[in-house]
Amino acid sequence: MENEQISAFGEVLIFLIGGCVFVLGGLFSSKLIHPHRPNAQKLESYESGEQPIGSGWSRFNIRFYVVALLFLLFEVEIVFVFPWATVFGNADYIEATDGLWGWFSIIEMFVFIFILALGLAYAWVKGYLEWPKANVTPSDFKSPVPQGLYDNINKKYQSTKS
Amino acid sequence: MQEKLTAITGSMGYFLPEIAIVISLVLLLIAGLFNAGRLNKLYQVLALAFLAVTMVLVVGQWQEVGDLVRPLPLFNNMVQLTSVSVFWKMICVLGAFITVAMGFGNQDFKDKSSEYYLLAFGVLLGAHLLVMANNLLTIYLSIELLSITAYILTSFSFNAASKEAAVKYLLFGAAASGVMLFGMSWLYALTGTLTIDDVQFLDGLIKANALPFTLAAIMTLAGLLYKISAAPMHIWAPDVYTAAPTPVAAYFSIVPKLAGIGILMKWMMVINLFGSSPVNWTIVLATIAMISIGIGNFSALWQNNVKRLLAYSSIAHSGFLVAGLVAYSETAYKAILFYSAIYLLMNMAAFLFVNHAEKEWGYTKVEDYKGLINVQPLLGVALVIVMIALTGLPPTGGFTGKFLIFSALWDSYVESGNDWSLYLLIFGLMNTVIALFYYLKLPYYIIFKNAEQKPQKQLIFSLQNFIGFFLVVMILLSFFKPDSLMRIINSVSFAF
Amino acid sequence: MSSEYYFILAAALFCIGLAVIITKKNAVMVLMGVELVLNAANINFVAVNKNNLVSLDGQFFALFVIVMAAAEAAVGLAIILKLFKYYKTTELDKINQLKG
Repeated sequence: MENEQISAFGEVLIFLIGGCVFVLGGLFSSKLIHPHRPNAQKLESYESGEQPIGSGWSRFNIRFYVVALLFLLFEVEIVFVFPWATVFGNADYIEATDGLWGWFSIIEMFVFIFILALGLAYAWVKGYLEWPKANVTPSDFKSPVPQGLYDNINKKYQSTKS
Repeated sequence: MQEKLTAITGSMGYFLPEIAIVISLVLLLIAGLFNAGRLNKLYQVLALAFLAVTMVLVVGQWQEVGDLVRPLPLFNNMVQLTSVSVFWKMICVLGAFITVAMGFGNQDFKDKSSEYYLLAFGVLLGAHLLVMANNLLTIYLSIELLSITAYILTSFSFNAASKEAAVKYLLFGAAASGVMLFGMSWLYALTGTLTIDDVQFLDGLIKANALPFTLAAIMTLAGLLYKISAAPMHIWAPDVYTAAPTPVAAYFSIVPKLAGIGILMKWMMVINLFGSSPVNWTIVLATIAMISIGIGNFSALWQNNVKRLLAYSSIAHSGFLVAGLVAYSETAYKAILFYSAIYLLMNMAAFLFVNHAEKEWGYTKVEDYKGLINVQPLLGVALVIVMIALTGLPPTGGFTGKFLIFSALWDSYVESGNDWSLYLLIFGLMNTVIALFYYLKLPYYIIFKNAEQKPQKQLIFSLQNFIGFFLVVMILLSFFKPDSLMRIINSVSFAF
Repeated sequence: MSSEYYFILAAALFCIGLAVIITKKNAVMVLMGVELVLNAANINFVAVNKNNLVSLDGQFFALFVIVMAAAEAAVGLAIILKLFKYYKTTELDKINQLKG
């Protein structure tokens, strides 16, 4: 080695290795010395003392996926818009092409964004943007207490408060 | 800078069919925003009208490129317009037109109707770009456009089987295109350019080491073979054809496959490197063709489901198309074009009748067709003719197509002493005999078996059957008078 | 640093991706393997382009691949979700209704 000194990246590497050694060493030594006597109770997932119900793999609401897709639409748009943004207003190019460059690039990008926006419009029209509200069905429970009683109470406390 | 921009705006004029496809796609999407379910008919009419416009534009382009000596580079050589690519485009548009007509009046897609048509346009756009592609980037993007839309179309039966087929298609397809992309990245590393007919590209490949070049070329080939469902990349085809809606299966058997053959013809000319390639591609392709023909025919022998049978038959047909590539000469390439045109006619006719039988009487198995000739004589006879054509027997165009391919193979054996052409020729002839057994199973049931319970007579003069009978007449005509098709194909020139 | 190392990294990534595609039974895991393969190709494209900044072909290609990967993943996950609705699993071994 011509250079005896450790470079800055070398130091980072040493830290990385050191960190790994500490973590893995701890895990490995505990594996070596800890007693291993599992039973059904111990293997249960910990639910603050409650009996766990069902599979441990809970599922996300499917609607998150639709939102993620819409996010993806515009995230990916950036991939194209960003390089475009660095060149479209370039004065030299516009000068050299007698203004054609500016018109050309702006129309191109409008066409591109229009098609992407159509995708958003599609999702909107088809109702994927609406987060469904809880469907409240009025209960057909017949209360023996007449409605008038509640109204009286409401009226009474309303008047006293305000 | 100025020249580049004028080159782009100047290219627009030669890009009209593709622009028309994009505009129709967008218009269909906008039309789909207004309450889908009720406007089903409107979308069908719109899609047919747009396809008709595209077809007119492509035919116009055919007249334009008629006196083109050299390929016309468009968009700074990203795509190239040649008479061959326009020929493929005509075939693709025709395939799309028949497909849309096949689903005409069919209410299966409920409120997803506009999506169905716009995805079909997406596949068509991918096919158009693929046959014109002259750049690795264009090839990759158009293959992905073809595939991603095709994955969604597969699941349009809205049942468990079609989702299963779609996921198989998706995973195989994604893996194949990933491998192809990695191969392309190596080709780029070897040459430093993406334009496939560039001098730098060919020069770089000639100078490259044999091993990396071979690996990269084979990886790239894998993705293309996947699109034409040739062995060993054929595994998805039977499942997808069985589970997808019948028009979609018909579409897959024509448009992506023939577009794939179109780019494969160009690609073989590139990686052959004027004969200085370290790999003997004839052997590779001959093996692929033999395996495809063999697997297609032998697996089809045991099939009971008609669509599955047609799927295996389409694998065998890919094998025959690849056999044309093995011969590798101008006549062989013209034979491929002829075979593709005939294949479009006969496969579409077969799917049209199968679709009709499935929709009207619920026929899916071969046994269901028992005694069809007594009940529906016209339909029975037409189906028998189509099956004879698919086998490759006279008096149908199927025979002419196979004959041209085989004679091209024989020429290549005689002229260049290519043994593999001879092996492939013998193997292909033997397989035509095997193909007899399963193709004629359907005619056997139609003619010689008596139906236990006859479907009630129904008026069969629908648009679909009209097109089907027209195609059957064309198949017969292409045997007796192939001159007009031949004249079209002869005006195509290849850069050999 | 010569671009050789990039190629080795890309090749390793490609092999890992391919191994994941072949061995994993879960449809989502297979898609993740595909992403690895695509990114391996991306590394190659960008690494080749590093020494030749006159034409940015390779970097453009990488951008398009990123977009394609996103599109493929979106469609793939949508199909897998629908598949889960019918089969209640995404284990590819258990999805075998179509045979023959």
